Amino acid sequence: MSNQTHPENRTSAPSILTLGVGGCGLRAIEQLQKTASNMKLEAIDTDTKALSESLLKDAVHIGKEVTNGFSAGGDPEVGRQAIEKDSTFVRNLLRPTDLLILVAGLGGGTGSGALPVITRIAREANTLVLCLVSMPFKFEGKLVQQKAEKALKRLRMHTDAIVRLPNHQLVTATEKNQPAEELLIRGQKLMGDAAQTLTTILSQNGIYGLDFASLRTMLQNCDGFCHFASAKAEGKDRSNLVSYNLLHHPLLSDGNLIEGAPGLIAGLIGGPDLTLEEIESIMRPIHQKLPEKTWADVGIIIDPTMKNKLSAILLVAEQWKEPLLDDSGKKLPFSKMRRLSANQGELPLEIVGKGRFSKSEPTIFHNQDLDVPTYVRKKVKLPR
Amino acid sequence: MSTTVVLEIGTSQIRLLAGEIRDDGALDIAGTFKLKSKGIRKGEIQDRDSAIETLREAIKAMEGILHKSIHAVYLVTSAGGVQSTVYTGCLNLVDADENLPQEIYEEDIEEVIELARKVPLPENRVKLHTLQQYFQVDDTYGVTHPQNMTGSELRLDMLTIHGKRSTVHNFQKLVDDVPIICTDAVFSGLCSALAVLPDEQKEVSTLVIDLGAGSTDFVIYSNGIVQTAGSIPVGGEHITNDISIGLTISTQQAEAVKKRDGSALTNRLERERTISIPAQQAFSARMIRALTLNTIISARMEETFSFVKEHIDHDCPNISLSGGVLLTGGGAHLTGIRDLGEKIFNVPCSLGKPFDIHGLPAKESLQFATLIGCIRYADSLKLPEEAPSRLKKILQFIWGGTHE
Repeated sequence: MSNQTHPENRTSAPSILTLGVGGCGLRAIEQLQKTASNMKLEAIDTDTKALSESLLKDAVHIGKEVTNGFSAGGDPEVGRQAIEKDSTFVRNLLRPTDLLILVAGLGGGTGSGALPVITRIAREANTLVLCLVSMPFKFEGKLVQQKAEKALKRLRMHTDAIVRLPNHQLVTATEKNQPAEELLIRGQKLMGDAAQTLTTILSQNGIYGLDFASLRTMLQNCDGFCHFASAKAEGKDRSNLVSYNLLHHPLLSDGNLIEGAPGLIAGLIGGPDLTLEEIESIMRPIHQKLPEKTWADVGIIIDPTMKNKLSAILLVAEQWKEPLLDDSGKKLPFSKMRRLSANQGELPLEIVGKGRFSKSEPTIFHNQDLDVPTYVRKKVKLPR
Repeated sequence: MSTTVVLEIGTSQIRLLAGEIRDDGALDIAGTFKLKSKGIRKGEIQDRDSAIETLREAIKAMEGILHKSIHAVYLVTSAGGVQSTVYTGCLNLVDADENLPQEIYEEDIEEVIELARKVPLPENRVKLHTLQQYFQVDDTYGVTHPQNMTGSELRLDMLTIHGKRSTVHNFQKLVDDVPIICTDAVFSGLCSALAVLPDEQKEVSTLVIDLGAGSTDFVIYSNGIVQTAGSIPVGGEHITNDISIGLTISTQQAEAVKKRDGSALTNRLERERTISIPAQQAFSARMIRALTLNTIISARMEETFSFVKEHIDHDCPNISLSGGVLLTGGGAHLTGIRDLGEKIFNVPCSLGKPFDIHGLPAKESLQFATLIGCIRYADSLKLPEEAPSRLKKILQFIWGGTHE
């Protein structure tokens, strides 16, 4: 009870959930589970075969009635129905979550169909959503490409930011003769890495600040699409290697996207032996490329297990626009505060723009004056 | 059987329709008339003088169309925050002497219907309809015909649809002062449902939402009976008002741009599309962004639908809308409204179309859906129409109604 009376005295870290959707998402989560033990992971799929072969014990099967345990068969509509039937599960999952990182491959059935529904539910729950989606290889054909593009459009409605990983861009020309297995799952690995690094940066207290709020600013302003790059290195020359890899990353079109980027977040994770010189040698060339007005934030995390190692991520915005939803007045959507916020509604004291209804009796319904435009009451910022 | 005349005094339009139900169940329409209404705002009378003036004008024009005088009408109303409540009537069948369960006779059923009807309502509410739901014989729920069953207790659930007394009476008095007899006041949401739902669709659970100018009325039919009904005091007029405030344009400009370019969905990919608003009187021409317009509309409609959803989730939590959602009324023609409905209710959403109609083009029948439903309602009651009293006849003579 004492908790409820003094909610502001309690500290609560933002809770981050990484959810893999569909076959691709499932495998990405599998990869993650091998390395990351401190993350909240969850995976859902329609295919019982994939689920039973999966190493994940608690992966959830969706759409039992829709598919009878088979996969969605590449039909997004089936994927959509599957998740609609089990939406209660998603709702419960999202209730205590502040940031939802969705991992999926677009172009198939479950990922393309279920993802837009999940993002919609997340938006309703006031959860911040970051989607990491891999786009199909060129050899998968035009139809799959179209399906992926279509899903992407629907995703954009409710996602704060989408990071696309075009599979074919991940493989350079020189690597094409190498065994396919490693190259084909590179996208999944990358998505896993991204989710892991972000979770680490946000959940551990960095020596140099990058917090949930910074990420929120970034995601809400980036107008839908973000780009992502990560690099890892160890040994003596690690900082130069990381710097080179970031600046020539294929997902940033060989680093060209950094030039003129309106927003950027950089996260560095190093061991206790990380030196300032190393940090500077990574950040200096990046800052040289950025325009003056760029909104940039850097976070540095010291992880004792990362001795002699260095890993870095970059999130680069494509555009920078004011968010459509104005919630500057609100507190951070920390999950526990949300649960306590069942206060009695209040009517505004001043009469705000009721237009031609200003002279008539107010229409009070559910503690609100419905004559006042909804966008005013809900504080939706009108794009001008 | 004689022709029934029904009247709707809406926030945007006064509509009249005359017709009769043929023996095969189809509806023959004798005539329709509509007129822009005046003096009504948010479903309530604001300026009684202009309201009665337009009403007289409309009745007169309708009499001209029908070539006979109108002496009684059914009044369609959605005014005054219509709500529905389930009341249960309970009848003890056990004979005091024998202490044995008894067979249920016709009189018992009539008595329990009477009991369930006679429920106390708050002073300020007036009963519009009482709709019989299920009987319960002892522990058996969901009985539709209990006659000749045996039990010790007979219960009946009755759905009472009620509205604000003053509003309903004011409208009835407005009609009385025309002067014509107001036979009955009928809830418009129920009428819309009767107009667009064939019997098969009344069996599966279907939600009918009437998006009017002054209010949004809804009814759920399931297993052939009305499960719940209600009204949200928000309508198309509110959207227009929101637009006029948000874009600082006149109400007429807002109404025009809502009809032409408005959409209930926002499309973020259309960030750059602009709409030109022509100048009108003191308001100069403007360019606005489609996104701005649609954000305003979408916020309002999403909220309205959410209120409906909240209401039905609260009143009938066990119903899944397998018959989907049908939209009627002016708001049903808004672009993207069906997609928004699908998003909120999670079931297919379509435009409700009146069926089995003769003598009215399909396009027009959409506008008169509520009135069509009201004729069906009147037919189901099979009340003999009252002959005009002497006083009314004299008054009619004075007001100059044409006689047969």
